[in-house]
This record gives sequence, structure tokens and C-alpha cells, in this order.
Amino acid sequence: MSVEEALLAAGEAGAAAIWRSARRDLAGPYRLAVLARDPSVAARFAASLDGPWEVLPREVGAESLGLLDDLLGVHAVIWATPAHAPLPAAERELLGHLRTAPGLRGVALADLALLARISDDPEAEAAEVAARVARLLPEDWPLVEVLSPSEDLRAARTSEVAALLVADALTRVARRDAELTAESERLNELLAAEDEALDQVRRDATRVAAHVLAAMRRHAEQLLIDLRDLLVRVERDLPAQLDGLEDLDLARRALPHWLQHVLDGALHAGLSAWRSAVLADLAELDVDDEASHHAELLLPSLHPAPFAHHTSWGRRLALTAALGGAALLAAAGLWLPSLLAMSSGIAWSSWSGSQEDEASREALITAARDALRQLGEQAERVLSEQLDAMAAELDELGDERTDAAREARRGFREDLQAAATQVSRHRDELAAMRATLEEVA
Amino acid sequence: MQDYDYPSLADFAETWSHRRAPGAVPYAHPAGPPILPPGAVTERLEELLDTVVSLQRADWLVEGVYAGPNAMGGIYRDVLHCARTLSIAVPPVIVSGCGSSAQGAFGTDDRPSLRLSSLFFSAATEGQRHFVAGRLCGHIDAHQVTWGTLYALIVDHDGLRRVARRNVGPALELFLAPLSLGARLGLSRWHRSAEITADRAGLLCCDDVHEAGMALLRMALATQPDLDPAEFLRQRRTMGADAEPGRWTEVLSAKPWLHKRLAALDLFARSEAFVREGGTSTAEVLLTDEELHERTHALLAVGGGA
Repeated sequence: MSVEEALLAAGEAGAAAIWRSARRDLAGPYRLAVLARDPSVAARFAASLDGPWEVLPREVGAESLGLLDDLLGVHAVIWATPAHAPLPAAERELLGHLRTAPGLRGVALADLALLARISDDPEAEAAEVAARVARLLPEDWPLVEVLSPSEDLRAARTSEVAALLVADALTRVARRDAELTAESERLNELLAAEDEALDQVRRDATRVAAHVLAAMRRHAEQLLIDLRDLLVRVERDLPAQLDGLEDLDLARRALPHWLQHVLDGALHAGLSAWRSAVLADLAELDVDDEASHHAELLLPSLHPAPFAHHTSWGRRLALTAALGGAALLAAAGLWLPSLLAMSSGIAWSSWSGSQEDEASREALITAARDALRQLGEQAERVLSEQLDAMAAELDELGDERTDAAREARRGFREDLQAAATQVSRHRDELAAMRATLEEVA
Repeated sequence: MQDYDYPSLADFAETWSHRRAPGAVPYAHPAGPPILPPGAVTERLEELLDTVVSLQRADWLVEGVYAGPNAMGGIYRDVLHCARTLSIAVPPVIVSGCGSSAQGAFGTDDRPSLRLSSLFFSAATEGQRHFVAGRLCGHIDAHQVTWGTLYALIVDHDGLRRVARRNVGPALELFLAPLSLGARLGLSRWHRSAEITADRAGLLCCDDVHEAGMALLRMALATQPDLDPAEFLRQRRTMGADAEPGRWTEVLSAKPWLHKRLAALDLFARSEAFVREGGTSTAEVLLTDEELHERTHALLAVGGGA
């Protein structure tokens, strides 16, 4: 793979363009760059040179970015320092920045002719200046008077430039790789924090559910105990209550409604007290309002079964059959038998009813007691079923809240995951670039 | 609960029997009740109805459920709210996929039950749900269930007679058919008044006359109405249908015409009785009980305009 292809594959289009330009320049005549801080010094020194060079005088300022690219296209470079003010600190610093300068390089004293005007012994002065400059120069910048190209200078300089550009590209790739690695680690930390946040939500919800359920069950036990106590109290009180009402017929009709009213009212009061107690417990435990909403038991719909001695199904069906038969007879034109059947049915039903009216209060008490027990069992069953249903709901609370939190943070998490995927892809690409560049290097 | 101080049976029975007397329900529209005093005939009648309605309930339960805290809990909450508002015991509620007009309170005054439509309740607003459940609880509160069920059985109202015929047999049809016209003539006026009373109970439960009107329109149109009750009344007045001979069909109608029910609701929402029973009225001047009765009575008369 060529250097240009490797640079392009590494996404270094700029470096590839520089490489094309430098290679074209290096394939032509030998180019010697003459550098100086003062352009006139560079021009005078360039003019004094001869040989196989195309001499390119350049001024070197503080901003040397363009110069560094220019130096890639030359075969040799000479830094011209004026002999009357040789190599000040600023020049030495600039020399250190010229990292793209060719290997064939040197520092030369310029304007030696001026020494003759200011010195009595110009040659000795020049030698002294040269010695001082030689001491100040960095190792890779020798003091020279002239540079001569070797036979393989083009090839050597071309290799030099290629190595430089590839090394620069590798440095940039490594820097980007380090940035992406840091970004990847940051994203992974954020994703781990998201998982931790969701776990925390689940743990909190599970804790809340356990508190709510425990409070509900604890007070529900008391509620059911109170309900049983009430049922026992009402059952014992039944004879006295019936004794207090002379009208047996009214008592028989009102008794089921009274039982329903008593239980309904007691349960309503009990459920209100239960909810207050549960909410007070949950407030102490700092359980949020949303979870507290689960702590609700609805008043069950309670209905006493018809009192057996009062509503005999056999009598009802017989009455219905009698009236139906009467209708059939009437439809057949048998009016007298129809009237007879109808009146007999009503009379028999009334007579049997009146017989029941004479049933003892004991029978009524027994029926009421059965109805009361049935109501109590019904109430306990419905309340227990509600508690079981709420327990099942609360079991799901952790998952529900986690799902809700996950849904609420879905956008952020997806952004993080997309960014992590992108970073991972970029890192893979960088690894391939690095391999390509290292292969060329 | 253990210290709960319940009333004695004697006190309860006295209040309970007074509550069953005509005019005992303060928001009811009085209409010459066909209520018979408790006695042998009434008891036999209730037993007969209990028999038929129990068969009918079994039929409904083939494709319906009893609502409770854990079964159709939303509907149960609505009924619970209405029962507490009207201070009645929570009645048994059967929920099935019947139509809106088949909803009702059936059974007897001692053992009533509600039939509600899951189709209506699933798409209704809270106010509409409370109105419909409340108006059926109103029938129970006003002790109109026995006669309402009897009326439904005799005149084939809402298909109850059809259900009873299927369960009891064609003999029932032979018996009931000749009675139908007489029952319509004798009970329709009472039945229309009972519907007004029930509407008032529904309004007390939802406390929003607009939502109550929307619920009535929704039951009539079987869909979410895309019009305002006020616009419906305006349209009705513009058409002038109340002056046409067709108005006499109302004599045998089981329910007051829809625009009259809407207007009657509006009257009740502007009355002292509504505020006294806990409703929230926006009217500056409230109608007295006498004014409410007179204007509602005039409204319900055949040919009376909204």
C-alpha cells in the first residue's frame, strides 16, 4: 500500500495532499531553503550561494505553520544568522520548532562582509563568532558554510517526509483513540449508573410494597376480629331486639334490612378507621402517596338471603303455577275455572303465609341468626379477596415502577447506547487505520 | 367497630316503614303512587316477581358477572358512590354486554338488583356513569322497583317479558298479553313520573346537569353524542313537534320524551330541593318545591313543551 493510500485510509486527507505536493517538489531540482528571521538577511545569503540548488529564501516569524509544510518540499535547509548578531535566543528557539526540516541542514553565518566594517581583524572575529555559534547550536543543527547534495538525497528526503507524515498521522490517531477510550469509559459509567438507578427504583418499590402490605394486613386482622365481635354482639342481641318490637309482621319485613343496615354502617366505620390507621403507619414510614393509594378496601355489597320460613320457594312456584294455569284456562275460554284457580292460588298462598305469621319469634331469631352469619362470612370473604388482590397488585409494584422509570429514561438511555455504539465503531475504525499506518511505517 | 352503636330494630323499623310511604323521598316527583299498602296481595305479588326475576337473573348471569371490589371494580365503585350518596344499601349489580336501554333496577323493593351495561360504562365519563348508576339507585331509594318490574313484565318493556316468557313458558304470555294495554293505561303516567324521580337521583349522584344530559343523550343515541343538550332542546323547540298529533303517543309511553327529561333535569338543577339534597346549583334564584312540582307537572303533561 502506498503512503498516500495509507494516509487516505487513515482519514488523513490533508496529510495525503501535503504528501502529494511534497513528493512532486522533491522529484524536481534540488531545493534549498534559506531561513532567517530577517528577510533581507535570507535574501542576501541566498544570493551569495551557488551550486546545484534552487534557493528558496524564507522569513521565519512567530507563526511557522505554513513554513513547516513548505519545508517538507525542500531537500536541504540552511538557517542564516547574521554574523554581527549571531544566533540570539529567539533564533535558537525557532530552530527547535523546525521539526519538518530535512536531515541535510545547517546553520550558516551571513553578512560576514559587514564584519570587515566593524572589526579590525574580521577573520579572527569571524572565527570567534563561528566558535561561539557552534557552542550554542543544538546537536542536529551543525554550523556549515555550504551544503552539498548526495546522490540519493531525493530518495532519502522522500522517505524522511513519508515517515514524518505517517508518524504525525499515527500520533493523531493515537490521540483520537485516547479521546474515544475516555468517552467510551464515560458512557459505560453512565450506562452502569442507569442500571443502578433502575435497580434502586425496584428496591425502593419492593420495600414500599412490603410496608404497605404489612400495614394493610396488620390492621385488616384487627378489622376482621372486630367484625366477628360485632356479629357475636348482634347475634346475642337479636332476642332483645325482637322483643322490643310488638308487630311481628313489621319485624319480619324490617329484620333483613336492619341486619344489612347494621353491618353496612359498622363496616363503613370500620373501613374508615382501617384506612386511617394504615395511612398513619405509612406516613410514619415515609411511604409516598401513590403507593398509599393502594391501601383501600371497598365496602362489600351485602345482602341477606331471604328468611327461609318467610319465603318458601315451593309456595312461590305453586303460586306462579296457579296463576299461569289460570291464564291458560282463561285463554281457553274457561273463565270460571280460571277465576277459581287464580283465587285458590292466592287464597292458599295467603293462608300458608298467615300460618307462617304465626311462627314463633324463635324461628325468626334462628332465621336472622343464619342470615347474620351468612352476611358475616360474605363480608369476611369479600374483604379477604380484596386483600389478596391488593397483595397481588403490590407484588407487581416493583416491576411497574421499574418499567415506568425505564420508560421515562428510555430516551436518555437510547442516546447513551447510540453514543457508545458510535464510539465503539470509531475505535474499530481507528484500530484499522493504525494498522494500515503501522504497516506503511 | 366493636363500639359501633347500631340503632335498635324497633327504631329502625319505624324509620324504615315511614321511608316507604308515598312522598317520603324528598327529591321524588309526586305522581299518585300505585303503591299498595303492605298486605297479603302485595306480598304475593312480590313473591311472584321474585320468582320471575330470579329466573331472569340466572339468564343474565349466563353472559354477565356480579360486580364487586375485585370484579368490574370501576363499575362497583360507581354504584358504591351512588349508594352512599343516596344512603341506600349497595345493591347487587349484574354487568353484562346488554344495550344501554336494557339497564335497569329489577326485582322487588325488598330485594332489588341492578343490571348495567358494560358497553355503556366502558366508554362513559365519570359524571355519566354516576348519573346512570345513580338514577337506577334512585328507583331503589324511591321504592319503585316492585312496580317498575311489574310494569316491565306486563308491557314487555326492555325485553323483561321476553326473558320471563322464555324461562316460565308461553303460559305467562297468554296471561300477560291481555293485561298489557290496561297496564300501560294505568301505570304509564306513574312510570314516567318514576323516571323523572330516577333522573333526579342520578343528577344528585353526578352533580353536573350537563353530564346528566349527555348521559341521557348517550343512552338514546347509543354513542357519544356530538351535540350539546342545550342544542338538542333548541332543535326540538324549532321543529315544533309538540304541537303535532303525534304528541298523543306519549300517553302510552313508558318514559317521558327525551327533551322533557332534559328540561325536567334543568328545572331540578335550579331548585331548592336539589340544593337541599346536597346538589350544587348555579342558579341565582331557586325554584321552591311548589314551583318545581307545578312546572314539572306541566312539562310532563301530554303536549307540554320544554
